[in-house]
Amino acid sequence: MKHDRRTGTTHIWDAGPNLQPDECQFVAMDREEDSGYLLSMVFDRLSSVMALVITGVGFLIHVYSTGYMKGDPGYAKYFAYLNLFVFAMLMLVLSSNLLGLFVGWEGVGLCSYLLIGFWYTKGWPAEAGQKAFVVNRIGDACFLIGSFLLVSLFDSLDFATMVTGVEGLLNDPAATAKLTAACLLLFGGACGKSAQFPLLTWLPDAMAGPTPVSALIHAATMVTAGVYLIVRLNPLYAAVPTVLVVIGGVGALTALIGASTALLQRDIKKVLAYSTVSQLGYMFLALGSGAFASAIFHLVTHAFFKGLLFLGSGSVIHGMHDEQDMYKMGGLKRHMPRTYLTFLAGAAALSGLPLTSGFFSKDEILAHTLNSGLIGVALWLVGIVAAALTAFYTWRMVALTFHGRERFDPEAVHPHESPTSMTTPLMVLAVLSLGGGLLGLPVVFHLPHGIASWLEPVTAPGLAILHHGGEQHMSHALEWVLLALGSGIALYFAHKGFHAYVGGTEHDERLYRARPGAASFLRDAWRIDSTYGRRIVQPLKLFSFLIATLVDQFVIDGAVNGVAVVARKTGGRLRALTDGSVKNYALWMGAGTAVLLVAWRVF
Amino acid sequence: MLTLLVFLPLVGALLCLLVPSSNRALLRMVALGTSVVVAAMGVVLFARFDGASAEAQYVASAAWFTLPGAGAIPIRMLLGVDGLSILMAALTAVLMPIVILSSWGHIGERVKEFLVWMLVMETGMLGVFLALDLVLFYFFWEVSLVPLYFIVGIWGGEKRLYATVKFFLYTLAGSLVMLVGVIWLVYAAGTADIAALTARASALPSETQGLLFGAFALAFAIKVPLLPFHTWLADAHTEAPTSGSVVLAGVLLKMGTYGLLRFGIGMFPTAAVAWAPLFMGLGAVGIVYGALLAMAQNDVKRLIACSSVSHLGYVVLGMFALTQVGLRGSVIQMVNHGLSTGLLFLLIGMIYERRHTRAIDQFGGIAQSMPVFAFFFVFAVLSSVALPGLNGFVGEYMILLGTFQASPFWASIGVLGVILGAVYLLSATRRLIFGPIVHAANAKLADLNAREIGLCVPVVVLCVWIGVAPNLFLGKLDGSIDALAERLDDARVAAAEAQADEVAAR
Repeated sequence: MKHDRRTGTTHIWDAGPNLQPDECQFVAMDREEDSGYLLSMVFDRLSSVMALVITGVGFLIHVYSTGYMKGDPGYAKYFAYLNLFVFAMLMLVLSSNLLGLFVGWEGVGLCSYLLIGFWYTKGWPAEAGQKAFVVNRIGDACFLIGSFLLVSLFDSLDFATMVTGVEGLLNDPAATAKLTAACLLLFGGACGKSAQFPLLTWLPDAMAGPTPVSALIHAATMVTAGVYLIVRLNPLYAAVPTVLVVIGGVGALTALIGASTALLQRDIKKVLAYSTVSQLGYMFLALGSGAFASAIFHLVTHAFFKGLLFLGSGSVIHGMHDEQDMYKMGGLKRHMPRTYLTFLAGAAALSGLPLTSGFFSKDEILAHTLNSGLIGVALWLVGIVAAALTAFYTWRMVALTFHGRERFDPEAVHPHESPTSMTTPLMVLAVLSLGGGLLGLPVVFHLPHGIASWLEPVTAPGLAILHHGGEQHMSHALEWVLLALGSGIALYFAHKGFHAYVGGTEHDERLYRARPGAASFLRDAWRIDSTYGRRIVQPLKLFSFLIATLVDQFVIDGAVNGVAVVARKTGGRLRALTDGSVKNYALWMGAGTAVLLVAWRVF
Repeated sequence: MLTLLVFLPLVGALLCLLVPSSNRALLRMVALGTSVVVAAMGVVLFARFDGASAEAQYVASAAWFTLPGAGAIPIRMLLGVDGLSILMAALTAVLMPIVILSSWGHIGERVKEFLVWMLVMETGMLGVFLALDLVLFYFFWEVSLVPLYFIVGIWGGEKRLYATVKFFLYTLAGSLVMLVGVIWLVYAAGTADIAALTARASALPSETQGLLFGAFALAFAIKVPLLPFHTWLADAHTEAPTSGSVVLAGVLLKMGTYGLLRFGIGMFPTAAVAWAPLFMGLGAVGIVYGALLAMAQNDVKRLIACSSVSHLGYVVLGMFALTQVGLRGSVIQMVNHGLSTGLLFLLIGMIYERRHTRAIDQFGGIAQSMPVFAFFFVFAVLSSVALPGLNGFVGEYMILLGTFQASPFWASIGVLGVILGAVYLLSATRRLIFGPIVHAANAKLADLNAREIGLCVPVVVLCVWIGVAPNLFLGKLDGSIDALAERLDDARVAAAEAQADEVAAR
């Protein structure tokens, strides 16, 4: 530990002389003039956190996969894709400019596409993969236009140039308008990659891929790329606070949609998928209130506990012979004790039980939200509701899966604990899920906040613009109240959720009977997906059909064929010439050329 | 060197004529050998070409004939290569051996004639890109089109006659318009030398310039094909044999975009500046229109043909953005489209040879029986949807960026193609190669053989190369594009001054 007298911050880790001043350039590969395309990499404090998550959690998931994918005919292909993913993801977080980031951004999208559709012979995984790619492409189209706007503002896509250049634009209304549009469009890209409303529908479908893939790509790393992007560009976003409000609003809404939908899912992976959507919403909620470091903190703890929960669910699915329906589980704690205990750790962190990692990171986000003005209070309320729902559905999942009576056929299914290669990563992640809160303890504990001080050089420029030097600090009393409130809500609703379902699935049936409309509305994820199908996909198909038949064949080609009718007789005569004799063709060509030459002479 | 490059295929064609039709193996060896030598020369030419210079290089000149008239205009056998043509010439040279080798699989009848036509066409295409004399250019233009007429008409699919007549009518219309333009321009400027014409064309009365630009632009727009002249393309592509489709997509369509660049924009920058919004609009709408057309197709070859309309929309969009980045992106995208769409047509041909159908719903799940095919197909699709790291991205990104600098609106329309492209290509991929095997015939398909893999590998290598290190290719354009951009700037300044004068006069 090292205390810096000058800035008054305490570093848990000393970056060492090699990393000063907080970044070092690795390679400069290729340059495209005019478009400022410089493929170069920078390893600074933010990318170090991301790289550690990617390689650390990535390593554990690779180990786990050796057990999970054992015997799969595509074993080699699977690991090839997985490593391609790690490459692309590292490219994403290490690039020193937006274009290099985009290369990684699309690269992880490709791996996601390939791995979601990994078991393509079943049909629907291939469809899910396609959906993920296309929905992401909508975000990417926004991203591209946003990057063009940034080029027009900064003549560069280099992060350092943009971050330092933004201060010069603050008093220029035209530039600020452009910057607002650019930041909104880039946020659109982030919405695609991080499954935020309105582009969230692909993530639940992405669960068609192998479960370790869901853990690595669709929980711990790739889907957080949008959060990383905004933290990376934090001074730009700080300069346009209206965009931050939009981001906060979208984040809160997504957190609510995800959490409420997870309440009634039967598929254990679907619960976790919607939970991921919801937790990503929290990260964007943090970004919206300018709490960039808190977003990264939650990103890290979420990587631990959601990675753990996905891998745990994979262990359950593995031990249940590919069963994912929680209604057909129950009482598994006796059959797979190690999976059960580690799953409890993950569930505790996700639901925010006191002193777990999720408790600290989530409470920090909610505190920052409450502290960010009037809109912040409204968003905070939404966040609190989502937190209550989170605790409820998490412990419903635990109860349905591991407790109560066994709802499967003991003759046909013999649940068994997974091999050591799978349970060891679970245990490591369980320790991290429980203890990860140490990375960022609340101010009232009077201990250093590891992540916030580590990221201070990265977030300082943004915070300086946002708060003009003076951030309003919360009173310690209010912070204690919030911590107590968070603990209370988590404990109460976790208890409710567990006890409602420990006896079986009857609570769901009661809900469907009492409020059929509301219950199916929540189960179908607020019917967002089916609305898109009806309002966008179907009309687009119809439109394309009309273009191809009515416009193209009838109008345009009709006109052409009208001409053709006149020429048909000519064509008939021409056909007589095409008798296949090269000699004749040569003759005609020669004759034609001669005629042309004569024509020119006369002319 | 260029004379040899252009006419070697013709020599190969003559050699083929000497071989008896029954000796197919020898015929194929002669044709393939010729095209391989030409390809090697093309690569050497590319490597030695100095991209920093705007001047034509490796110029070969010989007297041909003299046009009578006021100044007795000499027509010369004038060949040369510059930054606008180097990539096109190299692409043509490199693609042709692949095209000829691909015909092993699907041309069994009248092999001799087919190979002769292919080689004649190669001479024509190389001539089009390398001619520096306008009349010579027109001559090669016609030489390259006639063979395709026969290739589709003789070796094509069921509806080949309809497709051929349609193609013929369009081509005829375009060629006549261009012929008028050529004659008018040559007599008006008193020379047929393209470099001299380029210098003198701006001295012509502005109305004449506008009309001449219109004549050339119309002829080339039909060839590209630009909306609304695109309907010949889908039929020609669908009915053409695989090798015909590959040449058509890979090279022949590029004659249109190349013509727009050298003769439309290069010779008449003032008119090009004035007409740019129209062409940008047609390009951008073409991107979306082509993509929507492709979405509705069940015939996979037709789908790829429609995607060509969309992709060439990008080329025209970036070109008429008339910005440095846009022009460069547009030229590199011509190469990219030739590679990735060419590869797609090759692959479609391979499964057609096995199943004799192109209906997408007749396939499904063939990744299980043909994993190597599936790899190449997915690769070609990813290159086509512009995945970063592959060639398509470099072109599309530069085109959209360049367009955005000129017109954010049309760039925003064009960017829709990024989404729609993924929709129709990935959907076709899923229906063709993923999912369960529904039709028993697909379960026992033989995977690609060594010859077929050999066809794909060079294209794949080039796609990755352009995607990872585009500067090797873009660098060859520097001199010529800089010169072109300078002339466009002059034209803009002149137009602004003329407008100011007009205002002042009022």
